Amino acid sequence: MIKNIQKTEGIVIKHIPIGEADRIVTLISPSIGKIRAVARGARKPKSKMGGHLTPITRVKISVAKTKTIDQITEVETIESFREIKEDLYLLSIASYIMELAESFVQEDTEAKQIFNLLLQSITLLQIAPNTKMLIKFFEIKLMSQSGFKPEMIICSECGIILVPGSYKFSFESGGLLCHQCTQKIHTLTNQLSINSIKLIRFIQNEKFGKIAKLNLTDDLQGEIENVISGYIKYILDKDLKTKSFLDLIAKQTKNSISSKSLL
Amino acid sequence: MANDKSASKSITNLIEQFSKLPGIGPKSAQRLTYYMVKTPKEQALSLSNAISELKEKILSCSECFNITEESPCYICSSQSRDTSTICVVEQPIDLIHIERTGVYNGLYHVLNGVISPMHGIGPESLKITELFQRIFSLQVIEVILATNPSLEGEATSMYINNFLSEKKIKTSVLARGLSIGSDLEYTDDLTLVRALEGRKFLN
Repeated sequence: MIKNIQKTEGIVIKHIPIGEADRIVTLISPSIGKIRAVARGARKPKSKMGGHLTPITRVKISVAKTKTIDQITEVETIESFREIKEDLYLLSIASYIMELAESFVQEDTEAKQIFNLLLQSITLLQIAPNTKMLIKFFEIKLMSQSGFKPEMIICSECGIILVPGSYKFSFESGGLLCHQCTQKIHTLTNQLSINSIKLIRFIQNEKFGKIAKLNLTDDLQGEIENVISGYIKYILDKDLKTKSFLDLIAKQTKNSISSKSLL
Repeated sequence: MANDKSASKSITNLIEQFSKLPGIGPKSAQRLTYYMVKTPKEQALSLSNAISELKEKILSCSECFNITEESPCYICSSQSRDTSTICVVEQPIDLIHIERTGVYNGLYHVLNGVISPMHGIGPESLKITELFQRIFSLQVIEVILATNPSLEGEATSMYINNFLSEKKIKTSVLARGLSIGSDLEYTDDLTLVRALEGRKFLN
Protein backbone atom coordinates (compact mmCIF):
# COMPACT_ATOMS: atom_id res chain seq x y z
CA MET A 1 0.00 0.00 0.00
CA ILE A 2 1.52 3.28 -1.10
CA LYS A 3 1.35 5.86 1.72
CA ASN A 4 2.98 8.98 0.35
CA ILE A 5 5.29 10.18 -2.37
CA GLN A 6 8.39 12.23 -1.72
CA LYS A 7 9.93 14.33 -4.46
CA THR A 8 13.58 15.20 -4.18
CA GLU A 9 16.77 15.34 -6.15
CA GLY A 10 19.62 12.93 -5.71
CA ILE A 11 22.85 11.47 -7.04
CA VAL A 12 22.71 7.81 -8.06
CA ILE A 13 25.42 5.91 -6.20
CA LYS A 14 24.93 2.29 -7.23
CA HIS A 15 22.37 -0.32 -8.19
CA ILE A 16 21.95 -4.05 -7.97
CA PRO A 17 19.68 -6.25 -10.10
CA ILE A 18 16.80 -7.94 -8.35
CA GLY A 19 14.08 -10.26 -9.63
CA GLU A 20 13.31 -10.57 -13.33
CA ALA A 21 13.76 -6.97 -14.46
CA ASP A 22 13.99 -4.74 -11.37
CA ARG A 23 16.80 -2.83 -9.73
CA ILE A 24 17.48 -1.68 -6.20
CA VAL A 25 19.01 1.76 -6.48
CA THR A 26 20.97 3.68 -3.85
CA LEU A 27 21.00 7.49 -4.02
CA ILE A 28 22.13 10.36 -1.84
CA SER A 29 19.62 13.18 -1.51
CA PRO A 30 19.86 16.51 0.32
CA SER A 31 16.49 16.24 2.05
CA ILE A 32 16.25 12.60 3.19
CA GLY A 33 19.85 11.40 3.07
CA LYS A 34 20.44 7.95 1.70
CA ILE A 35 17.61 6.50 -0.39
CA ARG A 36 17.41 2.80 -1.12
CA ALA A 37 14.49 2.06 -3.38
CA VAL A 38 13.36 -0.39 -6.01
CA ALA A 39 12.89 0.66 -9.64
CA ARG A 40 10.38 -1.77 -11.13
CA GLY A 41 11.18 -2.93 -14.66
CA ALA A 42 14.32 -0.74 -14.84
CA ARG A 43 16.29 -3.48 -16.60
CA LYS A 44 13.83 -3.83 -19.47
CA PRO A 45 15.03 -2.21 -22.73
CA LYS A 46 11.85 -0.13 -22.96
CA SER A 47 12.03 1.05 -19.35
CA LYS A 48 11.38 4.76 -18.84
CA MET A 49 13.63 4.76 -15.79
CA GLY A 50 16.58 2.50 -16.58
CA GLY A 51 18.80 4.98 -18.41
CA HIS A 52 18.28 7.70 -15.81
CA LEU A 53 19.27 5.49 -12.90
CA THR A 54 22.90 5.02 -13.89
CA PRO A 55 25.48 5.64 -11.17
CA ILE A 56 27.05 9.14 -11.19
CA THR A 57 23.86 10.79 -12.46
CA ARG A 58 22.09 13.72 -10.81
CA VAL A 59 18.36 13.13 -11.00
CA LYS A 60 14.97 14.45 -9.99
CA ILE A 61 13.15 11.59 -8.38
CA SER A 62 9.78 10.62 -6.85
CA VAL A 63 9.89 7.92 -4.21
CA ALA A 64 6.80 6.20 -2.83
CA LYS A 65 7.04 5.11 0.78
CA THR A 66 5.70 1.59 1.20
CA LYS A 67 5.59 -0.81 4.13
CA THR A 68 8.57 -2.71 2.77
CA ILE A 69 11.17 -1.20 0.44
CA ASP A 70 10.50 2.25 -1.07
CA GLN A 71 9.60 2.41 -4.73
CA ILE A 72 10.81 4.82 -7.40
CA THR A 73 7.83 6.08 -9.37
CA GLU A 74 9.41 8.76 -11.56
CA VAL A 75 12.92 9.80 -12.46
CA GLU A 76 14.45 12.41 -14.72
CA THR A 77 18.10 13.26 -15.37
CA ILE A 78 19.36 16.71 -14.33
CA GLU A 79 23.00 16.04 -15.22
CA SER A 80 24.65 12.89 -16.49
CA PHE A 81 28.38 13.80 -16.00
CA ARG A 82 29.35 12.36 -19.34
CA GLU A 83 33.04 13.34 -19.15
CA ILE A 84 33.45 11.21 -16.02
CA LYS A 85 31.70 8.19 -17.46
CA GLU A 86 33.93 8.24 -20.51
CA ASP A 87 37.25 8.37 -18.68
CA LEU A 88 38.29 5.39 -16.59
CA TYR A 89 40.51 7.41 -14.24
CA LEU A 90 37.81 10.00 -13.49
CA LEU A 91 35.30 7.18 -13.11
CA SER A 92 37.48 5.44 -10.53
CA ILE A 93 37.77 8.71 -8.54
CA ALA A 94 34.02 9.34 -8.73
CA SER A 95 33.32 5.77 -7.56
CA TYR A 96 35.63 6.28 -4.59
CA ILE A 97 34.17 9.60 -3.46
CA MET A 98 30.63 8.28 -3.91
CA GLU A 99 31.32 5.19 -1.79
CA LEU A 100 32.94 7.41 0.82
CA ALA A 101 29.96 9.80 0.87
CA GLU A 102 27.54 6.88 1.12
CA SER A 103 29.40 5.55 4.16
CA PHE A 104 28.82 8.81 6.03
CA VAL A 105 25.16 9.37 5.09
CA GLN A 106 22.21 7.81 6.94
CA GLU A 107 18.72 7.00 5.66
CA ASP A 108 15.88 9.43 6.51
CA THR A 109 18.31 12.06 7.77
CA GLU A 110 18.95 15.41 6.11
CA ALA A 111 22.32 15.45 4.31
CA LYS A 112 22.32 18.78 2.54
CA GLN A 113 25.96 19.63 3.27
CA ILE A 114 27.32 16.25 2.18
CA PHE A 115 25.09 16.23 -0.90
CA ASN A 116 26.38 19.68 -1.90
CA LEU A 117 29.99 18.63 -1.29
CA LEU A 118 29.52 15.50 -3.39
CA LEU A 119 27.83 17.43 -6.17
CA GLN A 120 30.52 20.12 -6.11
CA SER A 121 33.31 17.52 -6.20
CA ILE A 122 31.80 15.51 -9.06
CA THR A 123 31.19 18.71 -11.03
CA LEU A 124 34.78 19.83 -10.38
CA LEU A 125 36.08 16.40 -11.34
CA GLN A 126 34.98 17.04 -14.91
CA ILE A 127 37.11 20.17 -15.19
CA ALA A 128 39.67 20.05 -12.39
CA PRO A 129 43.19 19.43 -13.62
CA ASN A 130 44.38 18.62 -10.07
CA THR A 131 42.41 15.44 -9.36
CA LYS A 132 44.72 14.30 -6.55
CA MET A 133 44.02 17.46 -4.58
CA LEU A 134 40.31 17.11 -5.33
CA ILE A 135 40.29 13.71 -3.61
CA LYS A 136 42.04 15.16 -0.54
CA PHE A 137 39.69 18.16 -0.57
CA PHE A 138 36.67 15.84 -0.59
CA GLU A 139 37.99 13.51 2.12
CA ILE A 140 38.95 16.30 4.53
CA LYS A 141 35.79 18.38 4.01
CA LEU A 142 33.60 15.26 4.31
CA MET A 143 35.14 14.36 7.66
CA SER A 144 34.64 17.91 8.93
CA GLN A 145 30.99 17.89 7.87
CA SER A 146 30.39 14.49 9.46
CA GLY A 147 31.74 15.48 12.87
CA PHE A 148 35.18 13.89 12.44
CA LYS A 149 37.19 17.02 11.64
CA PRO A 150 40.85 16.21 12.19
CA GLU A 151 42.04 18.42 15.07
CA MET A 152 45.14 20.23 13.78
CA ILE A 153 45.36 23.33 16.00
CA ILE A 154 45.33 22.04 19.56
CA CYS A 155 46.33 18.72 21.17
CA SER A 156 43.31 16.45 20.74
CA GLU A 157 43.86 15.00 24.23
CA CYS A 158 44.87 17.83 26.61
CA GLY A 159 43.81 20.81 24.52
CA ILE A 160 46.99 22.91 24.66
CA ILE A 161 47.70 25.01 21.60
CA LEU A 162 50.43 23.42 19.48
CA VAL A 163 53.43 25.52 18.50
CA PRO A 164 54.61 25.01 14.89
CA GLY A 165 56.46 21.70 14.55
CA SER A 166 56.12 18.03 13.74
CA TYR A 167 53.54 16.02 15.72
CA LYS A 168 51.93 12.60 15.83
CA PHE A 169 48.34 12.14 14.66
CA SER A 170 46.17 9.80 16.72
CA PHE A 171 43.26 8.05 14.97
CA GLU A 172 41.55 7.37 18.29
CA SER A 173 41.70 10.97 19.49
CA GLY A 174 40.96 12.30 16.00
CA GLY A 175 43.82 14.75 15.79
CA LEU A 176 47.35 15.77 16.68
CA LEU A 177 48.91 14.94 20.05
CA CYS A 178 51.35 17.18 21.92
CA HIS A 179 54.71 15.64 22.78
CA GLN A 180 53.65 14.94 26.38
CA CYS A 181 50.41 13.21 25.41
CA THR A 182 52.28 11.16 22.78
CA GLN A 183 54.35 9.68 25.62
CA LYS A 184 51.28 8.87 27.72
CA ILE A 185 48.87 7.55 25.07
CA HIS A 186 49.57 4.38 23.14
CA THR A 187 47.22 4.46 20.16
CA LEU A 188 47.65 4.16 16.41
CA THR A 189 49.63 7.21 15.34
CA ASN A 190 51.36 8.61 12.29
CA GLN A 191 54.12 11.20 12.36
CA LEU A 192 53.21 14.36 10.46
CA SER A 193 55.74 16.93 9.28
CA ILE A 194 55.13 20.63 9.74
CA ASN A 195 54.32 20.95 6.03
CA SER A 196 51.68 18.21 6.13
CA ILE A 197 50.05 19.80 9.17
CA LYS A 198 49.97 23.18 7.43
CA LEU A 199 48.54 21.59 4.31
CA ILE A 200 45.69 19.81 6.11
CA ARG A 201 44.81 23.06 7.92
CA PHE A 202 44.87 24.88 4.58
CA ILE A 203 42.50 22.33 2.98
CA GLN A 204 40.16 22.54 5.99
CA ASN A 205 39.83 26.29 5.67
CA GLU A 206 40.09 27.09 1.97
CA LYS A 207 37.93 26.72 -1.11
CA PHE A 208 38.95 24.34 -3.87
CA GLY A 209 40.00 27.17 -6.22
CA LYS A 210 43.02 27.88 -4.00
CA ILE A 211 43.70 24.25 -3.11
CA ALA A 212 43.81 23.22 -6.78
CA LYS A 213 46.83 25.46 -7.32
CA LEU A 214 48.97 23.39 -4.96
CA ASN A 215 51.46 20.99 -6.44
CA LEU A 216 52.70 18.49 -3.87
CA THR A 217 55.91 16.52 -3.71
CA ASP A 218 55.52 12.74 -3.67
CA ASP A 219 56.72 12.63 -0.04
CA LEU A 220 54.16 15.13 1.16
CA GLN A 221 51.45 13.45 -0.90
CA GLY A 222 52.32 10.06 0.65
CA GLU A 223 52.39 11.42 4.20
CA ILE A 224 48.95 12.99 3.96
CA GLU A 225 47.55 9.96 2.13
CA ASN A 226 48.68 7.67 4.98
CA VAL A 227 47.09 9.78 7.69
CA ILE A 228 43.82 10.56 5.93
CA SER A 229 43.25 7.03 4.57
CA GLY A 230 44.19 5.53 7.93
CA TYR A 231 41.85 7.88 9.78
CA ILE A 232 38.96 7.12 7.38
CA LYS A 233 39.55 3.40 7.78
CA TYR A 234 39.61 3.82 11.57
CA ILE A 235 36.29 5.75 11.56
CA LEU A 236 34.49 3.41 9.17
CA ASP A 237 36.13 0.25 10.51
CA LYS A 238 36.29 -1.20 6.98
CA ASP A 239 38.22 -1.00 3.73
CA LEU A 240 36.47 0.87 0.94
CA LYS A 241 35.81 -1.41 -2.04
CA THR A 242 36.57 1.29 -4.57
CA LYS A 243 39.97 2.25 -3.12
CA SER A 244 41.97 -0.63 -4.60
CA PHE A 245 40.43 0.03 -8.03
CA LEU A 246 41.29 3.73 -7.78
CA ASP A 247 44.89 2.88 -6.83
CA LEU A 248 45.17 0.41 -9.73
CA ILE A 249 43.82 2.83 -12.34
CA ALA A 250 45.86 5.76 -10.93
CA LYS A 251 49.02 3.67 -11.30
CA GLN A 252 48.13 2.64 -14.85
CA THR A 253 47.13 6.16 -15.85
CA LYS A 254 50.52 7.44 -14.70
CA ASN A 255 52.21 5.05 -17.11
CA SER A 256 49.75 5.40 -19.94
CA ILE A 257 49.44 8.12 -22.55
CA SER A 258 45.71 8.53 -22.07
CA SER A 259 42.85 6.88 -20.25
CA LYS A 260 40.22 8.35 -22.56
CA SER A 261 37.75 5.96 -24.05
CA LEU A 262 36.94 5.48 -27.69
CA LEU A 263 33.29 4.89 -26.86
CA MET B 1 6.00 -22.06 5.37
CA ALA B 2 9.49 -23.56 5.32
CA ASN B 3 9.47 -24.07 9.08
CA ASP B 4 5.89 -25.36 9.29
CA LYS B 5 5.94 -28.23 11.79
CA SER B 6 2.91 -29.90 10.20
CA ALA B 7 4.76 -30.40 6.87
CA SER B 8 6.97 -33.43 6.40
CA LYS B 9 10.76 -33.14 6.40
CA SER B 10 11.11 -33.81 2.66
CA ILE B 11 8.59 -31.06 1.88
CA THR B 12 10.35 -28.45 4.05
CA ASN B 13 13.66 -29.52 2.53
CA LEU B 14 12.43 -28.98 -1.05
CA ILE B 15 10.87 -25.63 -0.09
CA GLU B 16 14.23 -24.57 1.30
CA GLN B 17 16.02 -25.67 -1.88
CA PHE B 18 13.58 -23.79 -4.15
CA SER B 19 13.91 -20.64 -2.01
CA LYS B 20 17.61 -20.50 -2.84
CA LEU B 21 16.82 -19.92 -6.55
CA PRO B 22 16.94 -16.34 -7.87
CA GLY B 23 13.55 -14.63 -7.91
CA ILE B 24 11.87 -17.36 -5.84
CA GLY B 25 10.54 -16.22 -2.47
CA PRO B 26 9.20 -18.47 0.31
CA LYS B 27 5.62 -18.38 -1.05
CA SER B 28 6.62 -19.34 -4.60
CA ALA B 29 8.89 -22.06 -3.19
CA GLN B 30 5.98 -23.46 -1.24
CA ARG B 31 3.70 -23.39 -4.30
CA LEU B 32 6.30 -25.14 -6.48
CA THR B 33 6.86 -27.80 -3.82
CA TYR B 34 3.17 -28.66 -3.46
CA TYR B 35 2.94 -28.71 -7.26
CA MET B 36 5.77 -31.27 -7.30
CA VAL B 37 3.86 -33.40 -4.75
CA LYS B 38 0.96 -33.67 -7.21
CA THR B 39 3.19 -34.17 -10.28
CA PRO B 40 3.58 -37.72 -11.69
CA LYS B 41 6.75 -39.41 -10.50
CA GLU B 42 8.30 -39.62 -14.01
CA GLN B 43 7.98 -35.88 -14.56
CA ALA B 44 9.54 -35.07 -11.20
CA LEU B 45 12.38 -37.50 -11.81
CA SER B 46 13.08 -36.14 -15.26
CA LEU B 47 13.48 -32.68 -13.71
CA SER B 48 15.86 -33.98 -11.07
CA ASN B 49 17.80 -35.95 -13.73
CA ALA B 50 18.04 -32.88 -15.96
CA ILE B 51 19.55 -30.91 -13.08
CA SER B 52 22.12 -33.59 -12.18
CA GLU B 53 23.01 -34.11 -15.85
CA LEU B 54 23.56 -30.36 -16.18
CA LYS B 55 25.95 -30.30 -13.24
CA GLU B 56 27.81 -33.40 -14.43
CA LYS B 57 28.23 -32.49 -18.09
CA ILE B 58 28.48 -28.72 -18.23
CA LEU B 59 31.92 -27.18 -17.94
CA SER B 60 33.66 -23.95 -18.83
CA CYS B 61 35.47 -23.81 -22.20
CA SER B 62 39.22 -23.64 -21.59
CA GLU B 63 39.59 -21.08 -24.41
CA CYS B 64 36.64 -18.67 -24.32
CA PHE B 65 35.05 -19.55 -20.93
CA ASN B 66 31.66 -20.14 -22.50
CA ILE B 67 29.60 -22.91 -20.89
CA THR B 68 29.87 -26.10 -22.90
CA GLU B 69 29.75 -29.88 -22.75
CA GLU B 70 33.10 -30.26 -24.50
CA SER B 71 36.19 -28.17 -24.01
CA PRO B 72 37.21 -26.39 -26.24
CA CYS B 73 33.61 -25.52 -27.17
CA TYR B 74 32.15 -25.98 -30.68
CA ILE B 75 32.93 -22.35 -31.60
CA CYS B 76 36.58 -22.43 -30.49
CA SER B 77 37.21 -25.79 -32.20
CA SER B 78 35.36 -24.89 -35.44
CA GLN B 79 37.50 -24.58 -38.60
CA SER B 80 35.09 -22.20 -40.31
CA ARG B 81 35.24 -19.40 -37.71
CA ASP B 82 37.24 -16.25 -38.34
CA THR B 83 40.02 -16.35 -35.71
CA SER B 84 41.15 -12.79 -36.41
CA THR B 85 38.14 -11.32 -34.57
CA ILE B 86 37.16 -11.80 -30.94
CA CYS B 87 33.87 -10.59 -29.51
CA VAL B 88 34.10 -9.92 -25.77
CA VAL B 89 30.90 -10.48 -23.77
CA GLU B 90 30.01 -10.32 -20.08
CA GLN B 91 28.06 -13.57 -19.69
CA PRO B 92 27.51 -16.82 -21.64
CA ILE B 93 23.89 -15.75 -22.21
CA ASP B 94 25.13 -12.68 -24.17
CA LEU B 95 27.09 -14.99 -26.46
CA ILE B 96 23.94 -17.00 -27.19
CA HIS B 97 22.04 -13.83 -28.14
CA ILE B 98 24.77 -12.60 -30.51
CA GLU B 99 25.16 -16.07 -32.01
CA ARG B 100 21.41 -16.20 -32.64
CA THR B 101 21.61 -13.15 -34.94
CA GLY B 102 23.71 -15.24 -37.37
CA VAL B 103 25.71 -12.23 -38.60
CA TYR B 104 28.90 -12.81 -36.63
CA ASN B 105 31.40 -15.50 -37.55
CA GLY B 106 34.39 -14.76 -35.30
CA LEU B 107 35.39 -16.07 -31.88
CA TYR B 108 34.07 -15.06 -28.48
CA HIS B 109 35.50 -14.44 -25.04
CA VAL B 110 33.31 -14.54 -21.93
CA LEU B 111 34.56 -12.31 -19.09
CA ASN B 112 32.23 -13.80 -16.48
CA GLY B 113 31.27 -10.41 -15.08
CA VAL B 114 32.10 -6.72 -15.30
CA ILE B 115 34.33 -4.29 -13.44
CA SER B 116 32.21 -2.81 -10.67
CA PRO B 117 34.27 -0.80 -8.17
CA MET B 118 31.22 -0.10 -5.98
CA HIS B 119 30.76 -3.84 -5.50
CA GLY B 120 34.46 -4.57 -5.10
CA ILE B 121 34.86 -6.32 -8.49
CA GLY B 122 38.13 -5.33 -10.12
CA PRO B 123 39.77 -6.51 -13.38
CA GLU B 124 41.60 -9.29 -11.50
CA SER B 125 38.25 -10.99 -10.74
CA LEU B 126 37.45 -11.36 -14.47
CA LYS B 127 38.94 -13.36 -17.36
CA ILE B 128 40.80 -10.32 -18.71
CA THR B 129 44.38 -11.64 -18.47
CA GLU B 130 43.22 -14.76 -20.32
CA LEU B 131 41.67 -12.51 -22.99
CA PHE B 132 44.94 -10.64 -23.56
CA GLN B 133 46.86 -13.93 -23.79
CA ARG B 134 44.42 -15.24 -26.41
CA ILE B 135 44.56 -12.02 -28.43
CA PHE B 136 48.34 -12.27 -28.73
CA SER B 137 48.54 -16.02 -29.34
CA LEU B 138 45.80 -15.94 -32.02
CA GLN B 139 47.15 -12.73 -33.59
CA VAL B 140 43.73 -11.14 -33.47
CA ILE B 141 43.14 -8.09 -35.68
CA GLU B 142 39.89 -6.75 -34.19
CA VAL B 143 38.40 -7.01 -30.71
CA ILE B 144 34.68 -6.24 -30.52
CA LEU B 145 33.76 -5.05 -27.03
CA ALA B 146 30.16 -6.22 -26.59
CA THR B 147 29.71 -5.43 -22.91
CA ASN B 148 26.39 -3.93 -21.79
CA PRO B 149 25.98 -0.17 -22.27
CA SER B 150 25.84 0.23 -18.49
CA LEU B 151 28.38 2.18 -16.45
CA GLU B 152 30.07 -1.05 -15.35
CA GLY B 153 30.04 -2.51 -18.88
CA GLU B 154 31.57 0.64 -20.31
CA ALA B 155 34.20 0.79 -17.57
CA THR B 156 35.19 -2.76 -18.47
CA SER B 157 35.41 -1.88 -22.17
CA MET B 158 37.48 1.20 -21.39
CA TYR B 159 39.86 -0.84 -19.27
CA ILE B 160 40.39 -3.41 -22.04
CA ASN B 161 40.61 -0.72 -24.70
CA ASN B 162 43.26 1.24 -22.76
CA PHE B 163 45.48 -1.81 -22.74
CA LEU B 164 44.86 -2.88 -26.34
CA SER B 165 45.24 0.58 -27.87
CA GLU B 166 48.75 0.77 -26.41
CA LYS B 167 49.48 -2.53 -28.15
CA LYS B 168 48.02 -1.14 -31.40
CA ILE B 169 45.21 -3.67 -31.58
CA LYS B 170 41.99 -2.46 -33.18
CA THR B 171 38.96 -2.36 -30.87
CA SER B 172 35.32 -1.59 -31.60
CA VAL B 173 32.12 -1.32 -29.57
CA LEU B 174 28.53 -2.12 -30.44
CA ALA B 175 26.50 0.93 -31.53
CA ARG B 176 24.92 2.89 -28.69
CA GLY B 177 21.58 4.66 -28.98
CA LEU B 178 17.86 4.09 -29.17
CA SER B 179 16.48 0.60 -29.00
CA ILE B 180 13.78 -0.43 -31.49
CA GLY B 181 10.30 0.37 -30.12
CA SER B 182 11.57 2.79 -27.48
CA ASP B 183 10.23 6.27 -26.82
CA LEU B 184 12.35 9.36 -27.55
CA GLU B 185 10.45 11.32 -24.89
CA TYR B 186 11.59 9.04 -22.08
CA THR B 187 15.15 8.51 -23.28
CA ASP B 188 17.93 9.76 -21.02
CA ASP B 189 20.38 12.44 -22.21
CA LEU B 190 23.42 10.19 -22.51
CA THR B 191 21.62 7.69 -24.74
CA LEU B 192 20.37 10.55 -26.93
CA VAL B 193 23.88 11.99 -27.22
CA ARG B 194 25.20 8.59 -28.28
CA ALA B 195 22.32 8.14 -30.72
CA LEU B 196 23.08 11.52 -32.32
CA GLU B 197 26.80 10.80 -32.49
CA GLY B 198 26.18 7.41 -34.05
CA ARG B 199 23.56 8.61 -36.57
CA LYS B 200 23.61 7.10 -40.05
CA PHE B 201 23.17 8.89 -43.37
CA LEU B 202 20.27 7.53 -45.35
CA ASN B 203 21.41 8.65 -48.79
